[in-house]
Amino acid sequence: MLAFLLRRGLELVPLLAGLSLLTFLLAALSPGDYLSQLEANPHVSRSTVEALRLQYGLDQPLPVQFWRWIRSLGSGNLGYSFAEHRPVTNLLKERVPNTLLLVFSAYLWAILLALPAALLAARRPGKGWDRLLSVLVLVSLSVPALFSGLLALAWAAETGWLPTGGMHDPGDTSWADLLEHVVLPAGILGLTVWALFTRHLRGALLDILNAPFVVAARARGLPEWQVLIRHGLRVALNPILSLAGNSLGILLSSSLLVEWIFGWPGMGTLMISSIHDKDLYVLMGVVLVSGTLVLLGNWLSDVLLAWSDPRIRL
Amino acid sequence: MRGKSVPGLLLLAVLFLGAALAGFLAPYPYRAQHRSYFYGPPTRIHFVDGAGRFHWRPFVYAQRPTGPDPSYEEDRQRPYALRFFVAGEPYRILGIVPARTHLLDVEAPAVLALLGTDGLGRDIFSRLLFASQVSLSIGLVGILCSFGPGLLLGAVAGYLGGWWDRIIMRIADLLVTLPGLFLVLALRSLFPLDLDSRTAYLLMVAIFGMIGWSSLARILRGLLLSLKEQEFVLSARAVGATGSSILFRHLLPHAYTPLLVHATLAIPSFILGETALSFLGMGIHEPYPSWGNMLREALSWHVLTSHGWVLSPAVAIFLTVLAFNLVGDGLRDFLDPKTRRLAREPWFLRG
Repeated sequence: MLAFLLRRGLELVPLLAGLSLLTFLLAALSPGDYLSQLEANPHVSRSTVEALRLQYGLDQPLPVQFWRWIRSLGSGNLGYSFAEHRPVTNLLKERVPNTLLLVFSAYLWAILLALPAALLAARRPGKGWDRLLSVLVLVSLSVPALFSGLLALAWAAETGWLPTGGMHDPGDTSWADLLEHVVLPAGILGLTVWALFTRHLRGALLDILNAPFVVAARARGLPEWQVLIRHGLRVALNPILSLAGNSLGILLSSSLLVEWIFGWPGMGTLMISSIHDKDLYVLMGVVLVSGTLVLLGNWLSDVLLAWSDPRIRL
Repeated sequence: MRGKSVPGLLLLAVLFLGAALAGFLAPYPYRAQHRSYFYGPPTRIHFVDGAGRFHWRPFVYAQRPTGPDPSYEEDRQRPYALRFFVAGEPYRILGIVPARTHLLDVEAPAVLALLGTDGLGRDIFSRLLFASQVSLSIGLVGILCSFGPGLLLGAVAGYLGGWWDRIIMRIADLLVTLPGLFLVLALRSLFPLDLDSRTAYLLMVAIFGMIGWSSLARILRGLLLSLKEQEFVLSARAVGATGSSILFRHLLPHAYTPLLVHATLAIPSFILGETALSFLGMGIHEPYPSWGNMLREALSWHVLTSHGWVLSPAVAIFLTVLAFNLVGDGLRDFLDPKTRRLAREPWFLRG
């Protein structure tokens, strides 16, 4: 297990290096540099900007700049936001947990509902529940976040049952208020993952329901629901773990739109506003952090898979 | 399960025909504004007039504003009959063949807005059709652009192996794992946001191509790795076939069907990418319509709740993605014998 952990951890290194190179190239390729914003400011003199450029090493060749950037990453410095007038690290510390809250709530309901759905569908494939659920799965996979999000927004505005955006009512920081605000965006966000989980779990369950050990369990007279729950759920763990890792990227992508629609103060809205404000260092920080999150998520799901299924450790 | 593909293909045929014949089917050009009928609800088509007389030719009434919100009521004084196959605004079929004939039209004070009008009084149905040209074509062009590099790099990685394989696959891994929309937005941010729509279209295609090749290359590589160890390759080599002829004549034909399934399921993601970018104001700009930028109107929840028809582009996106998913799923079920077996005779042990 330890060897597996190490090996899988080492594989992460080139990916993380590639990610930081990609982020750096993004900044190097974008027109202007860190100080172009300052240059446009009439209150700052030309010589100050030149002095700063020298101080930050922006006159150095790109490989040198990359090395300096990596070193500053190591010390947790991601640059400075011009729009918000504060370090990018602080900004990210505030926004990333919000996105993670959304993503984990989405995962939570998706998995909790996918289990019974898959069990229902796999019990009698091709019959009533299976048909209904396969239609629901197909619709959930096809409905774009733009559509479901706007529809949910319209519903919330019409009925007034749930808030139409943001993360808190002004001045209210209670858990109940947060829960009220998280329900809709997380519900929309989890739709795709729910469909993916249900589809794959159903497949995994169908695969084992004709396996010899399940037939033996039935032959011994175990009731059908016990067969499904005892043997089925055990098998469901693997696809859940691997899918949870694989779908993190999709989920973060669609959370960008969901956050924008619901005005959720997360990484997605931060990214969009940073593009509109030309806030380069915030943009780099978001790309870096979102990529790192996905890579770490994949790594974690692999590790958990190896823990649950010894065959994978080899 | 092949039955899934047929409705999917039919739906796709309808959507693509709509895009190809947009100029003919749309009652109005995409720029035409009816300033006295903004946020107008879908026009009702009547057969029976106020006096209870039945008309064989369907007709509509002109609309009269009744409130500031805005709200309208039908002016029942005079029916305006729908006119079929009338000459109107010139357009080009598929951008080439010039034509003037329109399927449907109605005389001027009356407005034929089958799906209502937007804030500038533009007919949403017409704009939807013209927008489908942008949104649907970008899916196809995107997949074409990612197929070239995807096939090349996947074949190089899978067939040559070695360092090529390692480098290409690490890059592909990175592109596949990173959250796609973040990557697309990051690349988009390298260029000015107010690019004109033509350039923005090309830019989006280029970005999708740069990212989209990765999953394709991974699939092709995996296929080639397992295929090239098989005996028919060995026998081809034994009779003296060269590397390239083995690749093109013996290996790639086996990869056609999986790649086709992949392409069918990948097209929606390009379409969704375009709509997301245009929705966020970084893609196609006004006055050109795209499903994404038409939805910007729905961002104000007041508009959304009182003029719900502005959401119709979202329905169009949904139907398109659904159609591609139906075709892709149907193809996959049909080609993959394992799922087919499960679907056909799932409970053969249960008696």
